[in-house]
Amino acid sequence: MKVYLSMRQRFFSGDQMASDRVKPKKHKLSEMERKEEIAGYLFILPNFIGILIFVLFPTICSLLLGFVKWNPMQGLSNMRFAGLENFAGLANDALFTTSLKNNILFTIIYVPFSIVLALIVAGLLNRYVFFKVPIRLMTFMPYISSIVSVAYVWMILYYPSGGPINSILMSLGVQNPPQWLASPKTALISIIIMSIWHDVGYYMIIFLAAMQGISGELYESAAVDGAGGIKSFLKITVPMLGSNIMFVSILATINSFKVFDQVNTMVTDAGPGRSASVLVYAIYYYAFRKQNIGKASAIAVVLFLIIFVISMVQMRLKKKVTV
Amino acid sequence: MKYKTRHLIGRITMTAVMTAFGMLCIFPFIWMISTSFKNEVDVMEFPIRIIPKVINTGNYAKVWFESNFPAYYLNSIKVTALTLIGDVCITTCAAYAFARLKFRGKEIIFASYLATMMVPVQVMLLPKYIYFNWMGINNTHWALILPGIFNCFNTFLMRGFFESIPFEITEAAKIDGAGQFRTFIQVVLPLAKSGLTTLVLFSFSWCWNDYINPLIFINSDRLFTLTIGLQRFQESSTTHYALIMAGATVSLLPLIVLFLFAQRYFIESFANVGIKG
Repeated sequence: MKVYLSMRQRFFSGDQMASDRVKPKKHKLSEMERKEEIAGYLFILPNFIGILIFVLFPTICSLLLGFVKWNPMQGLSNMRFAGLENFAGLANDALFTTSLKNNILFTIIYVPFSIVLALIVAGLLNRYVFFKVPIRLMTFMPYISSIVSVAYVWMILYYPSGGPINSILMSLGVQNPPQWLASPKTALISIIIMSIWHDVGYYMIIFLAAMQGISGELYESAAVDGAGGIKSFLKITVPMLGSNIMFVSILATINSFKVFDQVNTMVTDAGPGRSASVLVYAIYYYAFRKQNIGKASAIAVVLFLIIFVISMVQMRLKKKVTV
Repeated sequence: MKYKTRHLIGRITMTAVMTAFGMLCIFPFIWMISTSFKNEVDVMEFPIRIIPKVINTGNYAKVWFESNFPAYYLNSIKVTALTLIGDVCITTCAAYAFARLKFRGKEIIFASYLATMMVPVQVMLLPKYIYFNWMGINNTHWALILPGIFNCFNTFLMRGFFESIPFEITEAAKIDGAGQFRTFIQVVLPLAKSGLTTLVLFSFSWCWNDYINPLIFINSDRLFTLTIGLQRFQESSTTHYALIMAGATVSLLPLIVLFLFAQRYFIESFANVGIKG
């Protein structure tokens, strides 16, 4: 389909027109092409200027800022190149190392759990359930709501003594229910659970949309061959969704490195003993609480590199899939 | 026949299981609404009572009349509306050119857009703060609106939608003598309705729920949007959980109501974003 369209595009677009074939001059554009080019520039102009000012320029600055020593109060002349000086202190910085460790832990738990759960829910909703629409709606509702609002709901749900979750656990016979957000041991995992709850509906609808593209005949013939539900899920649905699962995993990984909202709302100062700190929190802390520009920018560069590498992997895989 | 009944029983059980799962997903919302109507002493009661003994609407009165919530609301509406209008006008134009017009430098410009998409907002907070300070837009709503309007990801998303419209249609318009702008407004845009819905709903919920940008760029109470307003409200009401839940309900309500009415479009849009992005 794509090939077909691009052939059409080439066929119809200016450079292949009859007049051009007679006089194949490369850099002299026909009247029509010139008009199209001007229209093109005019169409992108407002967007391009805005992106230049609000995206491209700050992006470049943010990467450069990691390598300079500078106090913005003293003006630009005061800025000097610092090489890797800003990065040298990072390895011994407790907040940074805890944050990096927590982000990795976050990814290791969040990604597989939310993806497997999303796959199972989508698989069941796709084939085995009545009232698919209201159930899909209920599962997706957390994702649409702002993390800040639901963070406060979960904060109270998690309340160690008398909170609903622990009350339920105790009535089920759990003697010493976890302290959730109040304990350095469980603060991070509590935030991860809430994040999985918040996002699983989103990954689910991506899978569900992709599953609708799988032909029902495949399942029918599998059923004739005697394959049960679980078998056809594992042997048909999962392999057919291969590329979607890969991309959602990458998306979830990137999301788990960008996590911040729930950390800054559910616990104060990144939890007891900063046990729930993450990289974005560390950037925020050094930049806006400590005015330590060098450190904040160095951590930002580290975070950028992590996300850059993941995005590169994604681009590579995408190329492989589409070619 | 036997297969059919077994199948039916399986379906009914699965429906029950999934309904239970769905209920689990919305339990925090139900609990939030129920608690917002309770007296403070009843918040932690067990067994959990979904319908409160006494319906207390005092929390809502407090949220609405004794705090700045009405102002937070107006701020959120203003920021979201201006961002959306600007975004739709400017992004769709650019995306149209990237998808369907030929001009020199297009590939390089678009590649630079794609490159910046790899740098997340979270990485740019500090340079943006210094830069916005220098521009004089810190602590104004422009610091939220302008970066919201100029968005590489949305351009990329809309370009995908415009590319999927058959080229014969625009060629026909061109032969009929329509200029680029008319072709765009009258021919291409109406055909990209699902793309536009996606753009609007996605940007809307992103903008409405944005937390990190207002946290950093806005610092006076009268300019707060709902997310930051709710945080300040939570900090000032300490352990008045029923009151905090009323605040949370009020802040969630518009989006949830909109979602319930347009859920099909929301879900389609977010699936589109997930698959194309």
